[in-house]
Amino acid sequence: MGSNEQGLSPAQYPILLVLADGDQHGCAIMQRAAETTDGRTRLGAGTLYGAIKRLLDAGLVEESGDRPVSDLDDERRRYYRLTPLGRAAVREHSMHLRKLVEFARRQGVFAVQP
Amino acid sequence: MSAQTGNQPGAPALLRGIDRIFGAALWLYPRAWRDAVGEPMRDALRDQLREACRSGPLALLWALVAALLDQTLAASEQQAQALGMRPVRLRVVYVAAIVLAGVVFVQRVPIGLAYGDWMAQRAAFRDQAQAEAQGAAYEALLARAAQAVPPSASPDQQAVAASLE
Repeated sequence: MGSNEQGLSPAQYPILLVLADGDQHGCAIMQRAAETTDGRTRLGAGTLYGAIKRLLDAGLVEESGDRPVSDLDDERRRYYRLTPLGRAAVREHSMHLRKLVEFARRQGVFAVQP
Repeated sequence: MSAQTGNQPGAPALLRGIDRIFGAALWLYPRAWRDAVGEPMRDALRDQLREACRSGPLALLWALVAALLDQTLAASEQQAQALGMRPVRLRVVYVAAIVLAGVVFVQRVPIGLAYGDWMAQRAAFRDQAQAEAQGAAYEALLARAAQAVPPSASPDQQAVAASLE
């Protein structure tokens, strides 16, 4: 449970966010993480699976037996899904980030500079 | 069967070569990590590089450099965690190993061509040497045959000896 106690790493959080929308395989996670952050989060395969391994060990994600598009899909691909614990962790982390963003707004960080 | 494309006969040879290198690079990771997520990671990498390949050679080169860097950092981090040491030292070793693998891969084709030339030259020299040896042996045989036929030999024998000379 190291990830949950110490917070999510910058690689783990977008993975959990992508999986919150449904089961995905590794390459799709990489693509969606890049798309949803305008290319700012580019996870390499090594980084992605390092993070997935830690998330698996922490019980935040699990392998999924369901294959959304089994006819067209490579049977060797492994899909991952969020566990209830993972969903709670991503919610908690998002709340924490929202508080930080609210604080930043109050601090005038988003104010237009003259 | 998209993730298997790298291994199919019709797939570009370059991608198959790259896939083999990354397959070998899996051994840079700890065994437990490799057993858990090694193959899915390789599949994802194949997908990623194939997508880049469709976008053109520059995109493939960029994806390849990014993947090498990512693999180096990820493998050294995972191995350092498994060994309980700081990843910095391992990174140096891993960077050297992966750069060496890349150089070998890039040099593979020229080295192969040079090796092919060398083998062809070697075969030509061997054939020439064999021909020369056979010629010398034939000459010696003729000389021996000429000596073996005495002057008092029959006309037929002398004709044979003359024809040999």
